[in-house]
Amino acid sequence: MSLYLALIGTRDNPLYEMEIKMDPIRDFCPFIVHSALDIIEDLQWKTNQLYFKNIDNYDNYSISGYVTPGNIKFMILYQNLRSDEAIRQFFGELNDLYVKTLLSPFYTINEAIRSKAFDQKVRMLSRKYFNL
Amino acid sequence: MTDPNSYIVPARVNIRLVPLGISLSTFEKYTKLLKEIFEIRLLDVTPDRGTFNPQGFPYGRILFNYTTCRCDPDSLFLYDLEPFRKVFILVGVTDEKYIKDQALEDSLRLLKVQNPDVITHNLVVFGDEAKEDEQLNNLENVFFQKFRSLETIMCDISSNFLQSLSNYAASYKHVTLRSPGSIASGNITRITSSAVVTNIIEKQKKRFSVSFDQGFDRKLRVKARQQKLLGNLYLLSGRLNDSLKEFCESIYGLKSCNDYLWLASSLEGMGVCCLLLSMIGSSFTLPNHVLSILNTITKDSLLLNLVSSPSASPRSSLQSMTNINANTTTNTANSNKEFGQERILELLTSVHDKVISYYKLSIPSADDYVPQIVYCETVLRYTKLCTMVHLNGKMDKNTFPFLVNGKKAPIENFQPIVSESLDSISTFDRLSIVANLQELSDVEFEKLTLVQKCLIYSSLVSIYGDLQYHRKKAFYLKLLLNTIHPSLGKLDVPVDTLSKYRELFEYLLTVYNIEQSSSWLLLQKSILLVILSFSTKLDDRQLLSRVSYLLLNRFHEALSTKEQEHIFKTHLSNTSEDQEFFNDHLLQNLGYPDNGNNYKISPSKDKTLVVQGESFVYNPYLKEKSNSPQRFIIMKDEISQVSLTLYNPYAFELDIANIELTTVTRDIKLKILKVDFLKNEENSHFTAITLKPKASLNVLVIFIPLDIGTLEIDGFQANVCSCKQTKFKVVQGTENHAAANSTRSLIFDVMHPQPVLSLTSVSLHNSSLMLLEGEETQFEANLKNYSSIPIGYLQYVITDSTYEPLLQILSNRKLPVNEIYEIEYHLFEKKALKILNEEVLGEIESNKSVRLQVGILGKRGMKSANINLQYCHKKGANMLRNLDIPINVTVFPSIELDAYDFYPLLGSSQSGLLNEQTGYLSKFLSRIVSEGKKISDYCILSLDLRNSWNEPLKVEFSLATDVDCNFSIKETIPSFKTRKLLLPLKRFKISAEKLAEPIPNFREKQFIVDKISPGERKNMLQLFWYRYNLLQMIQGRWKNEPETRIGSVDTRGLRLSTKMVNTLSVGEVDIDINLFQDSKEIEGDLVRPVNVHECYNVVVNIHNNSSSALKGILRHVPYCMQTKKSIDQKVLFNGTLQYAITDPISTGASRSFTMGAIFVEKGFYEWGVILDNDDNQYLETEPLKVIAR
Repeated sequence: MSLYLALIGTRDNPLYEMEIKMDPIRDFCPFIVHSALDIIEDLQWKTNQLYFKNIDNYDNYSISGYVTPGNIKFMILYQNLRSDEAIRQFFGELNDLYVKTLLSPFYTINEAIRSKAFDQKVRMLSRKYFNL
Repeated sequence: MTDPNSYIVPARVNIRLVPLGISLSTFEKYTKLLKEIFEIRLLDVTPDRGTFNPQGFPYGRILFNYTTCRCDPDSLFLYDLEPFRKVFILVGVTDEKYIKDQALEDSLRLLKVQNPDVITHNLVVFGDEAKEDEQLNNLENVFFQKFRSLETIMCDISSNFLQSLSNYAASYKHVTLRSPGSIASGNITRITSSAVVTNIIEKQKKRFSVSFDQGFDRKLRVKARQQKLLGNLYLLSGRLNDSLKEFCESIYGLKSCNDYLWLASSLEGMGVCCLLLSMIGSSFTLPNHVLSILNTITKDSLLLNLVSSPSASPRSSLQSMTNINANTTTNTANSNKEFGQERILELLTSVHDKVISYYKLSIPSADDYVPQIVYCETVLRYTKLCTMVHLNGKMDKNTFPFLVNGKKAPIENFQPIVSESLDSISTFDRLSIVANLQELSDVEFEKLTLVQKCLIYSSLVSIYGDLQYHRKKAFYLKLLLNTIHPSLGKLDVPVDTLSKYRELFEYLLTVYNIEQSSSWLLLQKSILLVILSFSTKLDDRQLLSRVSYLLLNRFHEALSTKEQEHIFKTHLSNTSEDQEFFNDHLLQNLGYPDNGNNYKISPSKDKTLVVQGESFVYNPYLKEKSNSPQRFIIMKDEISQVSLTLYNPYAFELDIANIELTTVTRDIKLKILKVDFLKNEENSHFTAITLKPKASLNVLVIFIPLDIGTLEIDGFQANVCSCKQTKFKVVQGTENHAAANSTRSLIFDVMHPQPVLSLTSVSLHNSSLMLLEGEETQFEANLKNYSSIPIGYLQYVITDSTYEPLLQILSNRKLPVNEIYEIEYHLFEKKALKILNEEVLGEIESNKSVRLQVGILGKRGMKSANINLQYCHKKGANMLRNLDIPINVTVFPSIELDAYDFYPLLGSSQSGLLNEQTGYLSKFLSRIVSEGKKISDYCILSLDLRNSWNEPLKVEFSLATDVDCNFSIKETIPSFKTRKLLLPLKRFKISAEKLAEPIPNFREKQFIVDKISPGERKNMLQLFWYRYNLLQMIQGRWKNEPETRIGSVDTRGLRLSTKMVNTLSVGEVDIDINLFQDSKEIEGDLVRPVNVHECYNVVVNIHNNSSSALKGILRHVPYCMQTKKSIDQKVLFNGTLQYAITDPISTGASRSFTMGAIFVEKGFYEWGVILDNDDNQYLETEPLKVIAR
């Protein structure tokens, strides 16, 4: 089981990145996720849902995404994760965390999230949902 | 080269073109001519009697795919499964010049020998000069362009091909066709995705359980494979009806024996066949067993839509279709008849789904598994078809030319398909096309060969580009570049190809938003590195310079040391002098170095200089805002300096040359003297400096302003690493270009020239001095006015290192007033330095020197002292210049006051002291006794003095106040020894008015809040004023032998207590008791002898020293020490022991009271007297001691 998570802003800029056990393609993860933005940008206008499962894949790795109402994209690149439902719930909680960060007066939208607390909570979520 | 992933690739015949004795450019020219002939109608081909007689299906066409490469050895194993991969025709391309020298038969033979894998060998001779030679013209397989058109030549070549193909097909009749996996025995890469394999095995297990009983007919499979191969060959030969028939039959057999790999391939061939048939408008039907496999489409719909009559004219050509398109579209009925087959897409989709599913089913097979490249290309071919249809909007005749000749899709007319009817598939939306590509997720690209990878990646780039998925396209473009790069040597490409490369890289830079913003550093850096390495191989200096600039400017933090060094070298090698340096953030800070106080000019604080009309009341609004930049004052024609803090963020050295300061306005000219970065190095005179990697450096730029006014320096400009002169400014905030809008600058007010006073010499070695505590000495300082302007005003301030700690103590508000006085005394009265010849400091002419004599005092704890001279050209000037004369001092302890006490002197002690013949004290006392003075008017101050210095010191104390009786003592105190000195002090009295005066303060503080009670204050004032007077009375000095050091003994350690003050002061009432017998005073050393039963008079003399008249009750208190009897039984009194003084004793007056007394019993008596006033009780100075015998 491995996972790469990226929160991507409206200008294709990464707000937050987390990588767990992605050693074989570590340097390549951002490219894969970046290329999947094309697909999710097409998909997001077709349905009302925020969560898009398995929108793209590369070399046995799958990509799922979540688009916030503010057009921030949460993308995960993963291999052998448990279930789609777990990913959906993970995205839901991640969105809560992101909204809380957004409410901070010290944070402006589209800015990189450098909060250690945020990082710890995201890692806790990945442990909770994916046992990573 | 035509599109390698066109859907109709299985119908294309590969033709290899080989140059024979011609140059590359000529070969390219002829190749271009040949490539224009990409299809031949079977109608135009000479018939023969072979299997592939073109007359069998005159509507058919042979499609060509020209190649100049040798066949990929990795695809040899695939020829049985996909015969279209094989190169069937070889065409030697030559011209008439070649045939002059060589025999054509030999050349043809040579071609056959060198290319035995090709089934037909031909030679095409280009050029117009060839002679018409009957013999040559009749040569088999040799064609002259001069005599026949290229199309005719290609028809003849096709005829040759069809004949050879018959032989080729015949050779397969008795061969058992094997799958690639079986032939290559593991050399073919297969899909090994565990998830897919597991899934398929599960399915197969179920299937085998059903079909196992039937078994599979080996003969049937061999036959079906033969039919499939024949179908492929028919497809290549253009006989589509036979091909469809063979494919359909093979599908039946292959399905029966579950030969999935061949079944899928056969289905795919059938799909291509159907598409081509629909393209030429020919009718076809699919048998029921095929339709049952493609179970998604009903038979009726297919029959209705797919069956149509062939084209009216068998001569219509796909090649000319685009040309006649305009004419045919006007004929509505005709076009409907020709291209009413939009439902062909449904068929092809359904076929593709089955192909993919059968390929997947073949994966677990040991031998008959689908090779990765076959699988990938199938997916890509279908996706390419979908993309074409998507771009065209629908499947119609406009789509076909793209499929056949591989012309680029018409992106200009692209309109995204947003919503589609799900009922019928007339086109595809982008997402469904991309969904097809997800089938490739199981493919492990890394296991493919380089050529295969490049082909796949470039196809993906093309597809995503057509679909306008730019990020996806860029991603696969990057993969493609990464794949190609390691195997590339130096590329020597023509200019037009170079511009195409540049377009490609430009595209990557745009998609990853590299030049606009630094958003995804890792991503952007990686892309830039790829472009950099490619541009190195292309030797594109312009691109190299641009990319290395970007990398070094914005991505240096993400680069490793080696990468940085490499890029820097690359950049340097491509940098011309016209190019800007890649980083304009080298300057971290600008500063004005503080050179101490010397020559520094500051606004005058002189109160007389307050501008008229300005209120002296503090006005907070006049205060300068703290955020306004600090202004420095410098002089015209005087040397000034600016410090530049440079930081090199790179892992390589930077050479900086020709440093010049830049100013905001160019009104004031500067002359730069030198650039200095090592202060201590005398010979440092550099015009160029080297910044070490990852290090910062302070550089001093020394300059002279040549004009008066405001000078704002905002940075510097220099040539860094042989680049163009670049400006560097201090940018506050981050290095982000968007935020870099605020800069910092240094503002100088350049003033008229001012006098310069300089310290030329000090008569102390290294301006340092060792002193003993209290020692006083002198030194000289020589000053010179170096300027041409005379100094008209000079003032000075003296400070020493004890000031700060003392001021800190003074800041404690709870400090009692007497302590404040003591600290202030040390601050203001006891100055460490003193200018002895102040008169020389009045005016100093230009180029004149003055000699300053300075006295210095060794203060305890002092480490340094300073004279700060402030001067200007005239009194009242706004600005004062400063000059410091600093002195370093070490103070060692000398004579210290260890302990002290006060002892009263009594009449009784007189005899004891007077007998001491040698003592200096007895001599003094004898003198005052002899002068008739009372000894009890004096007291003794005992001082324990310790010599803490390492040589004996001679101490001399003198009492200055008692004019009549001067007293002085001299005592030599050995080193580190303590001696006790006894000083006789005349008791003194301080008037009540003086005692009521407040303690003075040196700072002239107006409001002193004293929270102590009145009684305490009175006591404190009494102690203060007595101490004040006492310290003025005693003066002690010391010196060593021989007399090299002289100093004063610090007696300020003396602190008085109330008891000491009582001893030191004269009492308000003096009461003396004397004993008389018959007017004769009875005297004695300590005790006065009397006889019992004799009559004596006790005379009490009261002297009033107080400021008011004295009255009260006088009490006699006689006491006998031997017996316990009442005193009444021992002494007889003439009168009462206590009585009132009713008549007041006025101030300064004395009065005597006499009482007769007879001592009755022998013994030792003490007679005391007490005077009770209203407020106080006064005792006698000394009791009368009597021994009665």
